[in-house]
Amino acid sequence: MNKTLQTLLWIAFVLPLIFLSSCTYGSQGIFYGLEHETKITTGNGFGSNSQYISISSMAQDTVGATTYYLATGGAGLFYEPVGADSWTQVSLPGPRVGSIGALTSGSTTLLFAVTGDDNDNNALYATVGDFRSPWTKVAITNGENPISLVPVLANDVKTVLAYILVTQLTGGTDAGSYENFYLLTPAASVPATTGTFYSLLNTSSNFVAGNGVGYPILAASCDQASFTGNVYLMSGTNVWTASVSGGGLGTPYILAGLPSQIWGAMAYVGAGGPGGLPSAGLLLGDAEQGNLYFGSVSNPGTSTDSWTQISQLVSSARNSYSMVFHFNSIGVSRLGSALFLGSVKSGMGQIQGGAFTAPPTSTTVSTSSWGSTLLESNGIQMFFTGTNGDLFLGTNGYGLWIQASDGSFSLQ
Amino acid sequence: MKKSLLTCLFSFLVLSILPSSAWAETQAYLYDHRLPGDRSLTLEIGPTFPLFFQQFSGPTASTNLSVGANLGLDIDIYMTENFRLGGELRGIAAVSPNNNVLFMVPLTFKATYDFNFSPFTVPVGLGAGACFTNYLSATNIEPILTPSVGAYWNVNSSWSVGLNLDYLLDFQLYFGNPIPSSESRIGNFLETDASAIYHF
Repeated sequence: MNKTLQTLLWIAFVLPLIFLSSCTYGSQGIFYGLEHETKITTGNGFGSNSQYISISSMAQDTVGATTYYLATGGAGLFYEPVGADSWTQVSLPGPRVGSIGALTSGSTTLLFAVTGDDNDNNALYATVGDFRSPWTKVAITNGENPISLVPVLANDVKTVLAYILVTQLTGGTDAGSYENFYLLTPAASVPATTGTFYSLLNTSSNFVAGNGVGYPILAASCDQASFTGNVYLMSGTNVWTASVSGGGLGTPYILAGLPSQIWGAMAYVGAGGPGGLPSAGLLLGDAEQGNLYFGSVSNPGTSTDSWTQISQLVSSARNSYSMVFHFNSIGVSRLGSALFLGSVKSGMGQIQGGAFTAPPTSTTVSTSSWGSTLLESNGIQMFFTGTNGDLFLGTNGYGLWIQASDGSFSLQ
Repeated sequence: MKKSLLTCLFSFLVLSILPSSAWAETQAYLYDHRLPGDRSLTLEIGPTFPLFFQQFSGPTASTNLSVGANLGLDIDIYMTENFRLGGELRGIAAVSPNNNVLFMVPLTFKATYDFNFSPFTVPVGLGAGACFTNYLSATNIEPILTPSVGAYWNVNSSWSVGLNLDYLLDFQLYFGNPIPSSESRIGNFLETDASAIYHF
């Protein structure tokens, strides 16, 4: 046989075998992903870096006839009218806006923001009604440095009922410095002046002071549709339960009986809620080993609270690079039927979504189709659902995404 | 008169024989590097048109890709004066809506039949092989088919220049682990190239 022909045959049949071993699958089909890829609009307020910005929290504000979304992006606070896809930066008194929160009482919205202050410390600022109106610094206990606002979600895993203000002792460098927390709830009557905001801080829930909780609170859930019943607080090493009493929190207790894990995500799912779970219960995702647990809690908010595992829904979940998931957020599809699990590993984020069979016996989460492979590039920070059902996904370094009515995601 | 008639007849014969002889010589000259065992090297360059993606159940969708570019190298061996076998290596790049590059490297074993209409040649071919497809962090290898047709002017015995059309059918298959089979697609691309063939 001609030598050139032999060479060609070698190239045609042997080389593919060599390269076959170098195949690396993404989170979706390449052509499929391209079919669904949406153009990133630049210059929309996040600027030309929109696809690189980190989004850590969102809130919603209604001003007159217009509803706005607010998002902390990078070190700034941005807003857009609902549905406009046009973000604009708004000024706050200090740099480095870390968290934004909104609570509605009657027809008035109370807005909170954790930001830097003019002394280069962190501070809590607040305003009434319109985010463009002046923000006032809220005085809290001297020596406590506000870190973040953690939404307390209802048992639909999307409605914000209250916020936990996480603080760190000024100068604190160890886990024990995150010992004081505050609860922010809608007031029965909105204060007429911003000067009275401090009254919104329920100091009676300044709990576990001096006990060295160990980690800042990362997630909070209520087991009811309104701010009643019991609240679950997840702080990495522990989950706490506290009863809701008089609009505040009772004494929190560490939930007994949990698997020994470092937790990264938590949500209380009500009966008949998303995900196809067979009953109400607590979802817990660990931050190290790709495990997701579902269980019931007896005697929450008391010293005898106890966890009973119903099912381990996910075991040692890995992404397409065989890296174990670090679950860090839980959300609900705008289509209403699927739970989303946000995860991150080595800088790569991934969301998986689906409904568990009932009773849940599967050890894997069914993967749904996603709007873009871009979601795989960076970590997932948070989910946020607007009152009209819009679902947002905030990423660590890859912008803010919105889920369309067909279920796909696109970058804002 | 007789002499004149003979002269005319001779002239006619010369006139009629000479061109056919020249034509035959030209033929032999243009195609003397197309004998069995001879080789050809084809260099192709031109735009690639991503046409559509098709599900195996039939529905099609836009590729969302820009018009791309391709560069190809094809080496063949003449098995007969009209039939050649060879291989083709090509690189294709096209840009997504967010300026990410889809990069494809088809590698095919190719059979080509040349229809000769001196001084032109119309090659019709079919390639089969594999394509390395890379997009962002994903890299796949997929089976492909590449029917092709071209039109070339044979400049001399060594060189032909012309246009070539290659239709790339890329069967991107998934079997559910980790990507569901519902995301399988057939990529349809059209490559339109200016090309030059060196015969040796």
